Amino acid sequence: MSDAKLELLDLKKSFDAVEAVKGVSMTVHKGEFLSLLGPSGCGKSTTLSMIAGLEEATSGDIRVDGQSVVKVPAQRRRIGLVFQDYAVFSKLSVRSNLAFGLEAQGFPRTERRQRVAEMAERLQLDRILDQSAGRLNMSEMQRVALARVLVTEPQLLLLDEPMSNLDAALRFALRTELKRIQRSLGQTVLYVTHDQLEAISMSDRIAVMRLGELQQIASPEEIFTRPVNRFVAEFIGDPPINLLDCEVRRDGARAAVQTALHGPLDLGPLEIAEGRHLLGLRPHTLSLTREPGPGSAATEVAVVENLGAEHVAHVTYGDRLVAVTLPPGSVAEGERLHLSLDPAQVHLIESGSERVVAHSLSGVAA
Amino acid sequence: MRKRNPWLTALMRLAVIFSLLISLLPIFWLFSTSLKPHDQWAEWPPVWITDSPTLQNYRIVFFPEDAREVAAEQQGSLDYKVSGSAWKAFQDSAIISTLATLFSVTFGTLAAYSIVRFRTGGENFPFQFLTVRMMPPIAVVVPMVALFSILKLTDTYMGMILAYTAFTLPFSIWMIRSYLEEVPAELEGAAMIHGYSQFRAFLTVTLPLAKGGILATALFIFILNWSEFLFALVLTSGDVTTVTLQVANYVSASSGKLYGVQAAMGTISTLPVIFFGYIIQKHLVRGLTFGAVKR
Repeated sequence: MSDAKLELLDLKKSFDAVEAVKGVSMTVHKGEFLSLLGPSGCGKSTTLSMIAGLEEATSGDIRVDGQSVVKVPAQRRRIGLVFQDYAVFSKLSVRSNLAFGLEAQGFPRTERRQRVAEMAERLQLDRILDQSAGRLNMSEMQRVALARVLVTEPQLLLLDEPMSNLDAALRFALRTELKRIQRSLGQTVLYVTHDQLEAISMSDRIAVMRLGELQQIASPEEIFTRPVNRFVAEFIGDPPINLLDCEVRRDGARAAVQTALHGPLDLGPLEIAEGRHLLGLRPHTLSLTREPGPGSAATEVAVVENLGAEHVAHVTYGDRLVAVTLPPGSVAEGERLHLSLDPAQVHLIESGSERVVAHSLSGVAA
Repeated sequence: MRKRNPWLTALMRLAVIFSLLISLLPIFWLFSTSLKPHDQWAEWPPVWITDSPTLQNYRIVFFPEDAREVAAEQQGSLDYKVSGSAWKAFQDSAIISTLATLFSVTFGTLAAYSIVRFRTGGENFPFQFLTVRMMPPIAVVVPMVALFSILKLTDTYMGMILAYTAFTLPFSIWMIRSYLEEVPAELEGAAMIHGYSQFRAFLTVTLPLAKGGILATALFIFILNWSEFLFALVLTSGDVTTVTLQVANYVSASSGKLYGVQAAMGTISTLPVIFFGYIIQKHLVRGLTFGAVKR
């Protein structure tokens, strides 16, 4: 017996000639918080609509608890969905909104009341229960939308960019809130977002999508430290990863890589063609020193960006700049320094396939 | 808001007043004539506002049996020979226009919903409906007459209702589509997620939100049906009649030229059009545009 709650099997969706979802397969486990992360138009919302039953899948299968639901209409799937714009019924009171699903599913009055009261208390809506839903602010609306779905005890909760209408402070508060509710209910959640911060901060696992295709599905740590390809490496991380041109040379069985200023770095017995590839360096793995060290390269600080808790120094690297994150106040613009990279935290991206073929290199060659 | 050039404002007001004068002149003439005694109906120079207003024209519309009496009162200078009955015309027009509007809006709503929600027929489908209305109605009159005679629909309520439904359906679909498009699909989706069937969600969530627009469409369609003349003329022959046919009846071979009575009938039959038109004026602009001024 597996603990799979939701399985997608080669799920596809086409709109006329456009293929929006090109065969997505993945599994969401019971009680898991999984984020579907990708830029707008990558097919993540369409995938969600298909799971909820609001869009028909062109082909493939959707299974909940091992049972296929593609033939089951939305109203009988017992899958909850919170819409991006919340879709709160603005002409009804908050109470009627919360009771909507229970009423539609024919729950007796007393149970409806009790469940609504419990959920309202949990989401701090008890004081506005009798207000008209048309007068709520964004945060209240979001909680009403969430409570309205949760009160029906859906076997699976889908959230479609529920925070995109909120300001930064509210987002932060609601992230914690949402995570707390999810944990306390043991609710299985599939969360769609284009915001990597939301995905990384809340998820047990993240599924990265691009152009209707699943790129990688893994824990936030792994997505960040071991991206499978250039897209994932570039999409995750803020400030974004530095991608440098590099040159791979082979000497018998061993290969070595060289950039404009660094190297050659030993790649060991790696299967990769000779020639130009890309080297990905996360800004936080780079270091700047006043004295030259082994393998360091001379550089100059061009711009310092103040992000509050940390600074990002953009330093010269051949004919371009690379970003390095530093504690505030450690360098000044115009300073001449030495840049070192950590060979254990370097991603080698094969040109052509754009796959990441190595996540760490063995060491600094002389 | 930026302050407009006062000269430009004055000029624009003048233009509006001028075009209003032009478009309201026939209405004024209609009403004015309806109050004139028979010797002023076609007098030269024209009598703009009669000095001896009378309601006799209206009396003849509603009580054609009084025609002889009216003629006697006016020293018998005119023989009021009236054919057809205004009462019957109003009754038939009400039946035909109301039922045809009901059908047109019902089917129009369902078709528009299908187009909006399921992309039925593809992107250009709604335009294809409109193009049906772009051909001159006279082009289909002859085949319609033939078809109606084969189907034995000539001169029946059923026939008229069918014809009017068919000819107003494109407007219904086009207008209602624009109102339904403004209702977010998410609301319906939310209702479905919580246990409503698609049709129930449509009826209880989407429809109430679009009802203002649908009502405006219905009144617009009613006006079209009420004022239709050509099809009424060729598809009926006496058993069924309409107000537009009755208006024409007062100036015909069998009636003589009862311009005043005709104007009275015209005035009365215009009243519902003006009334409904006034109610829906706000909605009309939105419904008939190509979605350009939405929201």
